[in-house]
Amino acid sequence: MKIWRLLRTREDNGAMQMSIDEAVLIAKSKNHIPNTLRFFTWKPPAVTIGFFQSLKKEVDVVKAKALGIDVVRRYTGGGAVLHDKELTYSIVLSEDDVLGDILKSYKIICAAITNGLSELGIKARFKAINDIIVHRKKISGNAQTRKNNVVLQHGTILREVNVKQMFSILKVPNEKIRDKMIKVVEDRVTSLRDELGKNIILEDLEKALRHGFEKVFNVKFVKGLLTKEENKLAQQLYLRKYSKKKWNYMR
Amino acid sequence: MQKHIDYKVKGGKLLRIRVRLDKGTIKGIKITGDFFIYPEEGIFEIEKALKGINIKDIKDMLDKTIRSKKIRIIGFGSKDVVDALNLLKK
Repeated sequence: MKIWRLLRTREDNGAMQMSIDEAVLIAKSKNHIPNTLRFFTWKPPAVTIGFFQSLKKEVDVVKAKALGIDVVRRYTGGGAVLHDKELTYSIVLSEDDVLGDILKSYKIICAAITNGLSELGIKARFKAINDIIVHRKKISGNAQTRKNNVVLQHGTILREVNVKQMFSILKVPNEKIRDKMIKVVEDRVTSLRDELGKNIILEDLEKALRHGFEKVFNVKFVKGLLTKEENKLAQQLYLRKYSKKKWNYMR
Repeated sequence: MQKHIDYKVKGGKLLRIRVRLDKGTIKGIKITGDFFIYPEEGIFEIEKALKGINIKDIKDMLDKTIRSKKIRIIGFGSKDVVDALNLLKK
C-alpha cells in the first residue's frame, strides 16, 4: 500500500497557510516530497478570495480589519470565504494519482471528504462544481489548482457557521437586499454543529477525514513535518507574495 | 468610460466585469468573479487578447485565445461574456 504524508492540524494566519499550500505544491512538482494531506485552522479568522475576484468588489477591507479579520487572495479560483470555525484540508498529489479531468478530480477528492464525514454519521454528497452538501445545504467548499502535473486542492469543512458575521465583511451587489441575502444563505449553509447538535472535537474530525482519504485513494498516511525546503519556500512566499498588497489587490 | 457589469451565469458563477469602451471597441477589460480558469494565468492572456477588439468580435477572439493558449474555463463560457457586455446596450 502506498504511503502518503500527513501534516497534522496547524493553526496560523491566512497568508501563511496559503504560503504553505503553495510551498508544498512547488516541492511536490520538483518531486521532493510524497503526496501530502495537510490540515489547518485560521488564527486570526480570515477572508480568502478566489484568484479571479476583485478584492475591493468582494470584501469590505476596512470593516474586516476593524474586526481583526485577515484578508488574503488564494492561488485557487472560486469565491470569497470567511474562515473562522472550520477545519481546512489541503491535498497535494500527482495528477497521475487522481485520474480524470478537472471536474472528475474534484469529485474524487470530495468523495474522500464525504467518506470521512459519513464516519461521523453525516450523510454528505458532492455537488458539482466544487461543493459538498448535506440535505441540500452546503457544508464544504473546495478549490483546485494544477501546476506541473501536480494537483493542489484545498477546502473548508464548516464546524460552526455565522452567516451574519460573514455578510458583515462581504460586499453585496445590492445593499437593499442584504438582509434577504443573509436569510437565503442561512437556508443554504450548514455546519457540523448544526448537523450533529454538538461541537465536534477537532482531532476527531481530522481523523475521520484522514480515513476518508485512506479509503478513497487506498493509501496509508504517515505523520510528517514540512521539510526545510518547504519551510524556506513558505517563508519566501509569505514575505514576497501572500502578505503583500501587490498580490492581494491584484484584481 | 469605465463600466461595471454583474452577470449571473445560468447554473454557473457570477461574472463581474469592468470594461472601458470607446465606440464599441474594448480599451481595457477585467473579468473578475468566482469562476475557475486553468492555468490561472490564462486570465491575463484573455484580457490582453480582448483589448482593441470590437464588442461584436469578442466571442471569436475568446474562442481563439482559449484554443491557442490551451486555457480551460469552468463556470462560464465565451457566450456569457458576450451576453454580459450586451447588457450595456440596454
